[in-house]
Amino acid sequence: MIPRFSLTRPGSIEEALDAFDRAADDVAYLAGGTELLQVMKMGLAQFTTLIDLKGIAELKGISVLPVGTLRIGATSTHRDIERSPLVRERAAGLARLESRIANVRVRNAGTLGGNLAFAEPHSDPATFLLACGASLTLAGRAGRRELEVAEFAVGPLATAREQDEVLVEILIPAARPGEGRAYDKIAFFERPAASVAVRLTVVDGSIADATVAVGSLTDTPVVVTGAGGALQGAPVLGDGFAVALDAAAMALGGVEAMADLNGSADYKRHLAGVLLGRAAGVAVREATAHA
Amino acid sequence: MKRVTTRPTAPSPIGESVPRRDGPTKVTGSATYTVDVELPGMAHAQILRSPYAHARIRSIDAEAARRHPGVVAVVTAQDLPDVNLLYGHAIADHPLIATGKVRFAGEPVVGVIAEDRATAAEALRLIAVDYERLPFVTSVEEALADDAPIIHEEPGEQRSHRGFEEDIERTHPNVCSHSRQAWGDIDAAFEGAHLVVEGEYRYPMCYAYAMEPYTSVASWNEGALTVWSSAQHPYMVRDDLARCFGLPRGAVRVVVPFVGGGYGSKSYTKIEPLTAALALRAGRPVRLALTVDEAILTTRGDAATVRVRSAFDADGHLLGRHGAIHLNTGAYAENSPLVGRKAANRLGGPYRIPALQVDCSTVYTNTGPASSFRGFGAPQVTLAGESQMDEAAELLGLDPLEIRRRNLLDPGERPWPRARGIDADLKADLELAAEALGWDDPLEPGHGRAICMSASDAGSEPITTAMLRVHADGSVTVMVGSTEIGQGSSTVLPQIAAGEMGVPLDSVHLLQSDTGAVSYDRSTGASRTTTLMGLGIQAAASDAREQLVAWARDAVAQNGAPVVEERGGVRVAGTFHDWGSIVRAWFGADAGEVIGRGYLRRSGATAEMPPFWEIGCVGVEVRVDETTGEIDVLTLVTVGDVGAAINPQLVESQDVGAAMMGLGMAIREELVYENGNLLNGNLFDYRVPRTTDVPELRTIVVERGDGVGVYGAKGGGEGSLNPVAAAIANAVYRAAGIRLREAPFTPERVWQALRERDAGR
Repeated sequence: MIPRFSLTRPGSIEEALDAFDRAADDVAYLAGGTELLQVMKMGLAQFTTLIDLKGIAELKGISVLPVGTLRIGATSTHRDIERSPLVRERAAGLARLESRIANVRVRNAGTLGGNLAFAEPHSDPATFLLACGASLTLAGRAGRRELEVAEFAVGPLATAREQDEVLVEILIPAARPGEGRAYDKIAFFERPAASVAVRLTVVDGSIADATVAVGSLTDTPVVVTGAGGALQGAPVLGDGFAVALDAAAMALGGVEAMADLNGSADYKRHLAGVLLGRAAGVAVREATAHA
Repeated sequence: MKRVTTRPTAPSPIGESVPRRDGPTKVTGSATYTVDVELPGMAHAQILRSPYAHARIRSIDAEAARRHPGVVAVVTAQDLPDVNLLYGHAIADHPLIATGKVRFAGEPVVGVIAEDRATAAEALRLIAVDYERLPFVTSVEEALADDAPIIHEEPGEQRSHRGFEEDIERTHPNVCSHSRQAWGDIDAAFEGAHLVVEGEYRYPMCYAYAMEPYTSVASWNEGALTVWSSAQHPYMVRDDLARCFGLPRGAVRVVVPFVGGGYGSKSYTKIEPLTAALALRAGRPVRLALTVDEAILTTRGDAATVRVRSAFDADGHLLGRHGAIHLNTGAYAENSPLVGRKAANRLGGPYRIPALQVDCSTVYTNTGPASSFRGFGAPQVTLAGESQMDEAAELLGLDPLEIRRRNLLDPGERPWPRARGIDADLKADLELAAEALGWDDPLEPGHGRAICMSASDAGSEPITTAMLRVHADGSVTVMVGSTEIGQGSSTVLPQIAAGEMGVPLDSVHLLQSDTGAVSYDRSTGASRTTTLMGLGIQAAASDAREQLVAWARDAVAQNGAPVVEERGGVRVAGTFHDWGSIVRAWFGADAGEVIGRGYLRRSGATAEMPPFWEIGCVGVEVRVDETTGEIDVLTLVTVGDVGAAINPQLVESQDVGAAMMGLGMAIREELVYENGNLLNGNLFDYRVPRTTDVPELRTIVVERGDGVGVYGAKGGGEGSLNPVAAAIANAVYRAAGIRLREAPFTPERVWQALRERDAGR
């Protein structure tokens, strides 16, 4: 059962940082709680003070910045993102991904910021955001800084966030002309067994450049350069595409996958290869539609 | 739902799909479960559990916990010198709290009672236990090694009075029990065989997930004990409590409020002795409410390794079957010796086998204790037996249905000497399933179909009593020791009473599962309640009516006028008198009641064992995704051969629920131990089927009036679980040409089998 803790509800980032400073050692920020409260219940983490970020206006909302970047406030719930017309229009792959996270109860409570800050190796959005070259903003006593998603997760359940820092927003660059972004996963339990995100650009019927990110296999989602490289230059129609997909799937063989309840490392790499093919197909369709 | 009914008609509302009585209460949240029971002065318990699979307890330092504000008492085995700590109705080997050593990770070591749960949980963290770790075993193979650590140094006391007559063959100190089922000349059968099919099949360690975890509230009052509990068998729990605390059975009252699912996991005694012991030391009523994670550690199903050889003649007739079953029964016997005996009985399946020899050993390991689980040995062995029928059919060039037609028992035929004859038309059931599944329709590539069957010796013991009271206003109270665990007994039993008394259903009220108020029933399990308690109620109704007719002669009829019994009352000199008016006339006031009694034992119609055969007949169509190894079960056919469906809709929901439970274990569920600890003992990582996993359903309810129960009823609710894993394995073979012998058939196992298939091409 969940141990006793005290809860504070700051109204601004400044108040949150003050609350953090005032608190004793065992303090954590709380967003949706779908991960944090679970690990507390399981006795895997003990916090005597929780600082609830959900009342801070600046951490909410989904908008488009003047340069076309999609800005998602860190405490936006998965459900908010799934249903956002802006997200559906500008990052359809993310909207689809969010609609398939866990179950509707989790999506109604869990937040994107909380998901990234918890850094569960099987995170759905982290894999997609990594492939998209997304970044995020952190606010601390020392001021604000922007980090690439690639720099943020440093290990399982570990990020580059300083303890006092608040995750403010996630920034997703606008899709370029001819760009497609897609994600697919396979899940046997609550979390994915394997997941793959593909971002690619199609120019004149060929893939001009491609990024492949793989989740759930390693400690943090990783970009597999060889897989993206294998897709580069491939025609999007005919046998050439299939050959390139096979080569890209082969490149996943080098991923240092961890065995877990979903299966062995070999099997999980195989699943990632299957998903790579599916996600790349969707990304190509999106790219061709945008061209 | 399709209905096939040839049984004799029954009085209304028997046979009608009336809405379940507990439905509105449950869905509106007003039902009172054990966790809702509040007593004045009640304190709350939390349990410190062993982190190690096998360890000696050197010392326990609980001083800081005792001093923690809000703590009422801290209890270890040493604090209970006046309690008989060992319980277990088959073998008394299970200490209600660890005594000297722990035998699985998760075993209760210390109980803390506090003013509230949070305080008790805080105090747990202040307790220091010094363990001396011992070598441990978690698999049967490890447990039976020559140099394996011994889990029980002293064999537990055999408590044979409840029907565990066979001698335990202790071939290895970690063997908990041994059963053999045998008939015919097994050696001759195999010598004369045209074909012998041989294989090893594995069934996983599973958890019978119920939404309500185990919960008990115990209260002592002037030397008498009252326990509220989420228990299926209140009378058996009562008897264990009486034994643990040296009380007469009459001084123990076990009350079962609403139960949030059982599936066998709540049969027999669980946390009730521990809760009562904690309340004894606390000097106050105590509630112990486990979490789901703790419940998973409390009981699970027996994992099985089943080695089988089946001998056939050239025409596909079974000549003999030889089996060796090992059940991983965990740290304590619980009900596994009986599961083992049933597994041995059930490996033969629904077939005519001239010679059979099956040995089944239950084996202690350092894992959570296994006990009853819906199907009870049958799912484990049906995977083996029914796989071999399809394997043999292929080698003999026979259709899988044809080999079954040639071997299925005929109605009345005895599966083994002295057993009750089969009370079902198995071949007709098979044809119904084949028709529903579209057996002869063309199959799409990557699809496969299969139909599998089982017959279980079910019903447990016919030891049942019932009371039926008719009040002065004609309303009826029925009092039974059978529990509503979600299966619908609180609807079906009043239907039987209303039909037998000829009164409206809404005038019948039911009181269940309170050993201080209702009369004895052995258990709510083995699919026995509708059949055996149904007979009990029928007998009680008959007894009540007989008395009422006599009272009518005495107090209603003038001058010896004839009294003719009719539906719901009597007719005297042309005037109808309902039951209530007879009660009023006899007592001479608007008061009083008649008490009807029903007794059931091994006698008359229920003399032969088993009381009935529970039939399983399931068909599936599956599709195999060769890229990921996932099995998609597209169609599920269930045939509920229940003799007489008192409430057809409830029969259907039991069949679908049972089959879905079987589907979960066939393709996904398995408790996984690593380094002596349960890896996935939570609902994140242990996934049970959901409504979204339900395939297209084609359900059939069959009523041929061939059971021993009222209007030919016999048990259902477990049968449709038993053949599911085998049906999926056989359908996958037809879809993809791979033979799966180890459940669950996880995507990776399927993918590996596909790779092996392709490597062999």
